Amino acid sequence: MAGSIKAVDNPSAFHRLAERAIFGNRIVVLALFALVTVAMCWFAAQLRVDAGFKKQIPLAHEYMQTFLDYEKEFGGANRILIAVMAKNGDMFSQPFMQTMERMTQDVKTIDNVDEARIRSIFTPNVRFVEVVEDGFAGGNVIPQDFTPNAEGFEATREQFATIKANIEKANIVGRLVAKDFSGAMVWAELVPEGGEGQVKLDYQKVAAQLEAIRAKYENDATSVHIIGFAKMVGDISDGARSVILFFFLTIAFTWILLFLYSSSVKLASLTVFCALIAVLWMLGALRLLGFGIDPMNMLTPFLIFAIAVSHGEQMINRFRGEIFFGGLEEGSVEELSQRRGVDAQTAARLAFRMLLVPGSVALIAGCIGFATILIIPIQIIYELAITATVGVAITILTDLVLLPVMLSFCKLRNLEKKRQYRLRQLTQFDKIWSLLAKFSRPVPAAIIILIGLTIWFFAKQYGHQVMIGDAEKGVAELRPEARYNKDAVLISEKFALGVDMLNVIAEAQPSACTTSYPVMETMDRFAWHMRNVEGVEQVMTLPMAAKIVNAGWNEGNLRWRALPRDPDTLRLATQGFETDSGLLNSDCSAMPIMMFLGDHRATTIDRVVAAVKDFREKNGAWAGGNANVMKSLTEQAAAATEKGETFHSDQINLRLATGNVGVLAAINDKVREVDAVMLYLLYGAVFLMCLLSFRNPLAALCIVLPLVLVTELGHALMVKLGIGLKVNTLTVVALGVGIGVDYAIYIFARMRESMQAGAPLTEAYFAALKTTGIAIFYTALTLAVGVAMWIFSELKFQADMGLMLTFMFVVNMFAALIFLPALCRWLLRPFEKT
Amino acid sequence: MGRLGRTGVMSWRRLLLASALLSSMAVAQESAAPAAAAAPAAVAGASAGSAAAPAVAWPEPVGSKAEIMPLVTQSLLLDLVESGNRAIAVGERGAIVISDDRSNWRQVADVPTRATLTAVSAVGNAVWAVGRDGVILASSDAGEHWQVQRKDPWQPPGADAGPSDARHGAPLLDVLFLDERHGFAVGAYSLFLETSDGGATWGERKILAEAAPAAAAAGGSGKWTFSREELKIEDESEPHFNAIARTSDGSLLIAGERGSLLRSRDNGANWQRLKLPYDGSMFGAIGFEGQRVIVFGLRGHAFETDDLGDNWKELATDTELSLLGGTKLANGGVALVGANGLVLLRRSAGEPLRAGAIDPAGALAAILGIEGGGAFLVAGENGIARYQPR
Repeated sequence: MAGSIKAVDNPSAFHRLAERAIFGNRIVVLALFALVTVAMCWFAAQLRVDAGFKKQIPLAHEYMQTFLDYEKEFGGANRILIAVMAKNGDMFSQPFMQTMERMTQDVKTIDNVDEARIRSIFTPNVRFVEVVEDGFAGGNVIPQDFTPNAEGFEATREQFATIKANIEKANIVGRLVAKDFSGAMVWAELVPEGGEGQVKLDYQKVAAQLEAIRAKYENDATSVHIIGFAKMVGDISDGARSVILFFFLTIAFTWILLFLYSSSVKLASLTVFCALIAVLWMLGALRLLGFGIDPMNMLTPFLIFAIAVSHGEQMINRFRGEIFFGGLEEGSVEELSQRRGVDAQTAARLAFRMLLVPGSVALIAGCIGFATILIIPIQIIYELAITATVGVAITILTDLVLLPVMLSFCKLRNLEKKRQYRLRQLTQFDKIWSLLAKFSRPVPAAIIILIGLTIWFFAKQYGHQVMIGDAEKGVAELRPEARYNKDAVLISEKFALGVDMLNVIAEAQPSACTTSYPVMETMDRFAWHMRNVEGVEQVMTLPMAAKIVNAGWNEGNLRWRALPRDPDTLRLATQGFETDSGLLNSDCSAMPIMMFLGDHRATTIDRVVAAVKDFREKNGAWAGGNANVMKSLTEQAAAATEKGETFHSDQINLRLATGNVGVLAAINDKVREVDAVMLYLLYGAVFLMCLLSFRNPLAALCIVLPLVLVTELGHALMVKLGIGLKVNTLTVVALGVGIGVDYAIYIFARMRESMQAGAPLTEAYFAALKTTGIAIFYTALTLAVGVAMWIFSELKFQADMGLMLTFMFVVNMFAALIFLPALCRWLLRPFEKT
Repeated sequence: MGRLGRTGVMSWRRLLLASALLSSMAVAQESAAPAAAAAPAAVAGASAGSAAAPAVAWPEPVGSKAEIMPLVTQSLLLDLVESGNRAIAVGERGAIVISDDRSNWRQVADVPTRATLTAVSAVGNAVWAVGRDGVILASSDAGEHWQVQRKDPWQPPGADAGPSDARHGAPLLDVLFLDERHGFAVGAYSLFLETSDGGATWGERKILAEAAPAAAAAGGSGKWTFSREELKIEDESEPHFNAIARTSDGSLLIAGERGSLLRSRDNGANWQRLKLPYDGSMFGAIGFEGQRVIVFGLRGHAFETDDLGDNWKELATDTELSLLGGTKLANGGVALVGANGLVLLRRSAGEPLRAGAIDPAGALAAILGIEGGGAFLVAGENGIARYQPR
């Protein structure tokens, strides 16, 4: 904003060049914009909804490296749980079993389902083992002769009794079968995304197929409940459709606001039109960048629209000043009424000349603000940051080039009437402005700063309690009354152990489960340690099963339920387990320790993860970092064999973590780590931009400090509303800061002009308010309206974000109006007499 | 769970042979290092390349202190005993829990082993617990403090000069003290240990080889005694000794694998071989007044004798669930527990056994009367529970 006045009277070489290039070839410029717009339209039309499980995951995180290393062998976290509940509370009926059997078959036909990993009482990978007089008996939970869908088959009470006993022996109550036997589940897992063959999962299609299964089997006797990432994405995508309606509503409200502000249909329409062009280009650019529209990323177009409108408003403000009064709207009403306006083309040129630098600076500051989000190594955030940055960059073109060029063609009707309206508008708020101006006097300023500090202190204390991750059952993205979340609550009530899983992978040498007692003993002890951690409801791992088998080989005598030390007996206890049990890989060099947690609250996850880390460090069971001990030991064993040597290692490496809770743990970790860093980067970027444009570190501080206060208030609001800090909400505060800074920049730029002209602070502030106050107020209102509509969204995370952003935009405006002058007083002009 | 089909009757011998075969096959398949010839445990990570060697060595469980765990009373607990005014339970991972009021339990700190403890026996305030890895622990203050009297974990071949011997590290399965000095511990592969100094020194005896076949009891048919030839085979097979019991007249009886029985009428100095009228294993033995003994075990089989094993009478249990533990009640009554939370109870010698169960069902290994026999404590795979007979 430096030298704006100078720029008007005595444009620099850059200004002259830019102005000549644009206003000298107005038709060419318009033609170019039209051409690009048509092209972008074509690209934007090809945009597809694109959701991905791995996009939400910080793949570079230690835990997620484990997840990637083993997703093929042990599956990942991308599970689908389908619960079939008998409405009469008893699953032991032939119709229920028919449904269960047929549904298990149907689930296999869903796209991209990993068939080998489907589990239900009807799949052969769910087995039981029991000790009988002369050894073991093992088998499928459903006996061979139980064929509920066969013609003429009549289930007997004895068969149901057998099935129930088998279910208990197979230890699947609470996991695959409801605790009260009122229903059963089918577990399915989707094949890993990406990797070889580049599997691209169409989550919406999977969700639609799941919904079809639900429609097929839900009836008077049974209800069907489905949860899992794929279903969630489907539901969110469906909910996100309502966004289109909101978008039109937002456009309408924005137009009305602009009309009220400018009293001109043309000016209001042009601003909205330019903003829409910016959004269209951004969507086209998304496609060109190879991205799709992620349901989680639906807010970005709104944001770009709001930003484009708010900056367009500044352009209109200047344009009007020129066309009505031939310059800045300073001075008294009488004085202004005397002044004469200029023609549209000159007005547009002058507005362009004045706003080129400050507008670019503000927008570039916004760009930098969004770009800081890039430090979060999560694909979806990366996409959001890129999208927003590109969008804001496009806004520079549409608001600073397209809009003034279009304005230059604009002939306003009833010019005199509008001039009078504007004059009234200018004096309407004088009382408020003079009150606000008093805030820049030394004593009120000191009091305001003190109040600000106090609020900041308490907001920070309160905001610190901000919860990481989710607290509720189900997902925070959807409203609690959404079908998905109701299903999640039901499933977690009936199947206490099926939902939240954290798997630690134990890595060791090949055949470790038969040759290394230390490895098995460490796993077993680790499992017991974890079982004793609050929040861990059940643990399953190979040594635990091996102990039962060892007792089985000893006639079921409980006193033999221990791990044998000698390899021959150990082999006997473990060799019966196949990979489809999920307890080991093909050469048992990797064995998961599966923990079923009571919930996935951040406190629970933190406690469990801390216990894992504590154990592995104290017991020499960790190689550190992302080391894949399984691979290195396998290589060493192979090398030794080649040389004809024997190789043996009892090394064990306990790696965190897979399972849905493993993913959550990694995300929470990253969110926590990144939250503070991102804010400081953001503050730093804003400070630097202000420093560059105002050449005064204290002035930059005057602009940044209110932002800090509002950010803490934002955190406090999150605590108050129970909104957890997670991937989706992490960016809200950053976006609020990136946009909220504009107000202070516009006000301060005006103040600075007045102060440089020799006005004392209070006077300069009053002048700034008088000329930009209304524009600022309307800008905040426009931005807020753009996002406030989301509060009514079907999706809770959109509603939360709408509320948060509305809060951030409005409160940032007030903070700028109140704290900026107070800070200026004590930081910039402490000794000035009023 | 994979290929675990129904297997036929298998002795330990045969199992080991089968496993050796399987292991050699596995080695051939995997072309990995032969397990049996593998180097000792100490080489962990010694030649690890990219993966850093762990800074802490694997803590050998038999010599490591038991860890205090909040859920210990829900862990595998295998035996119950009373000492002083206190109930003591022992189990997996060196767990020893004690209770004065029989409802609040406290895990004893600093138990010097993590080996699974399988049995416990008390004389006054002196308590002994035995378990896997040949461990024997002793306490002289009703279970507050424990010392290791013996341990004998399995060693990989090469660690000692001897060949691989499954007997080495055989688990102890029961312990019995006649007084504060004289006691016995029995275990797998006919392991028999005896002490006459309260456990300061334990000596091993091959009582199976020493034992003479019992002379046919008066009126006995002789079919329950062994021929010389049978005995020879039996000696070789070294059946597990699962339990040892004493009757009120001081006679001793050992019950073991596949119906094997031994008895002694002279405080363990001399032993005689007996045989049950059933080939299955007996997991427990309880001595009563005179020479009455009840043994119980596989598939719900239980037998009672009034003459220290000369004549056996099978008790009707009406169950096929294995019986794993039991306790003596007044008037010749008995309480037996077993798989699936089964509790069998008879209040006096003449009555039949009545079945009950605890919920949630889990295999039970021990039972102890409390509140003057009105209720019971049971211990098993799900820890300690209270059982109130109806």
